[in-house]
Amino acid sequence: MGRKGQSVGGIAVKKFFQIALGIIAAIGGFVDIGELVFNTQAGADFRYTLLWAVPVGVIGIVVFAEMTGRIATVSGRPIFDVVRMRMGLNVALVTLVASLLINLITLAAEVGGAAIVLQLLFDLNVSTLILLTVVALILIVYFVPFGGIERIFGYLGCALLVYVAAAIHLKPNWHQVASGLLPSWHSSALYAYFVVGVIGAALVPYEVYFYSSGAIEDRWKISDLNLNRANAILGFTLGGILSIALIVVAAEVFFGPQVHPGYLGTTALGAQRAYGEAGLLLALLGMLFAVGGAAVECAFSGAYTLAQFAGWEWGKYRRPRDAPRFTLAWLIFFALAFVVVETGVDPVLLTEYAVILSVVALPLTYLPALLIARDKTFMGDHANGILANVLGWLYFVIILVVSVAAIPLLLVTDGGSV
Amino acid sequence: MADDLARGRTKTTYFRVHGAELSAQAQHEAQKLNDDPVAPELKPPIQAAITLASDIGGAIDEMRVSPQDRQQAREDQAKLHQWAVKARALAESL
Repeated sequence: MGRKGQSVGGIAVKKFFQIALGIIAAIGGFVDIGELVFNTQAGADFRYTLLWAVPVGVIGIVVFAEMTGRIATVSGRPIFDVVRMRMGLNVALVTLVASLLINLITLAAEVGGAAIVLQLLFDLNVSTLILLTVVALILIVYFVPFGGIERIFGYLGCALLVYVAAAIHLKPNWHQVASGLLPSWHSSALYAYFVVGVIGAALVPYEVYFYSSGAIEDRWKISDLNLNRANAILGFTLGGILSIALIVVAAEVFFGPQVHPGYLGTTALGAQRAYGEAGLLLALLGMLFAVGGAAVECAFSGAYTLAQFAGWEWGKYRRPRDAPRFTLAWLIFFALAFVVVETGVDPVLLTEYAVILSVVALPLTYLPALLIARDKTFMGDHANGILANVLGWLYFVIILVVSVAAIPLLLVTDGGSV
Repeated sequence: MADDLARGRTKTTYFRVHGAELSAQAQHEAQKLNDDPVAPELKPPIQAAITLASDIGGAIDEMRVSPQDRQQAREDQAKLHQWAVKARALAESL
């Protein structure tokens, strides 16, 4: 009896740590270059008035990720498999091409971002740093197991929590911060562009491809559905607090002097303002691992989607020789991203395009996931309940509106510079 | 940035790299203002803006040469502050 009790207690503790560590990794892994760019610019240009867009995006990614994680856990099928099954070959092919293109642009932006952060730390030639970044990421991905990759980047990305501390330290007007969390509207195209950008930065599809394929990599079982829910809800929500902190810090530091942060270096300045050199170093370390982790997720997402569409063997849990085309796919993705960034294109500009194009392609993967997740014949007892269905359809409408508005706003505002 | 440099609250590599980006942007803006065709009545404020952008870029470059010189940083910070006030006044006058 005692031994049994001990064993049950041990399992509960193990489960608790598994959930806690997953959530910590999700917090660190939530922020990528899209959040760093859009949230900082949103705070600098519009102070707190765009804060409400963060929870809108975060609830969207929670709904989407929870559904795809549940589908993968129940059926053993990752998101792209589901897209092909539900939407047919032609629509799946269009989705595949769009996803691969967006993944590549995003990967290039993340690699470029990591190289910029390294340059800010070591003042070396940026071309050399791009090469070093790509080589380091390839070595990590090749030699470190899936769980290790999640932990390295997730935990070290948590250095970005310095922005949460900075947001408190800079003593914002909390009443105005709270007001910013209530939806409001400004009749300007630039404001609408940043609404789309802030929501889109939280809702990037590669995170969902990675999340649902990760459920299979981590061999989740039906008993892990609570883990899926906890990871999606707490991980992304707490990650969203980082986004809010980025906006608050930018509002406090840049809004007054009318600074428009067009560089990653300017984003780091917010943490330096609060905590001097220590704040700067923590911000740069967090950025390095957040964008590095996002780069790995992008490369994997590209390889996952391609392999799942083509029916190849895939998964990091397989040895490279057992999934050779999958391994080659992520290697090629890194190589292509290297070529794109070495052309000298500005990673911040690339990020803005990647986020806006992601938003446009989002309905193509969101709709099949929603249709499958609510299908009782496919999901059985684990199909969407009333709340998941209501939120699922509500977000489908939001995603449609945002995806239709994205390109016109990008053009009208000249990429947010008007 | 200049304020943090003057108070020893930043990292030299960061200041040099990010300073280079900001200084290049200031020079770029000065060049754009110089090259764009403008109405005759706007020439004086445009000329003032070009001078301001060039001065700002120059001050940042000065600090990048010797970021450990706090006295220099303090002087440049004061100048940058004055130019920021002038730039704002100029923008409001247009």
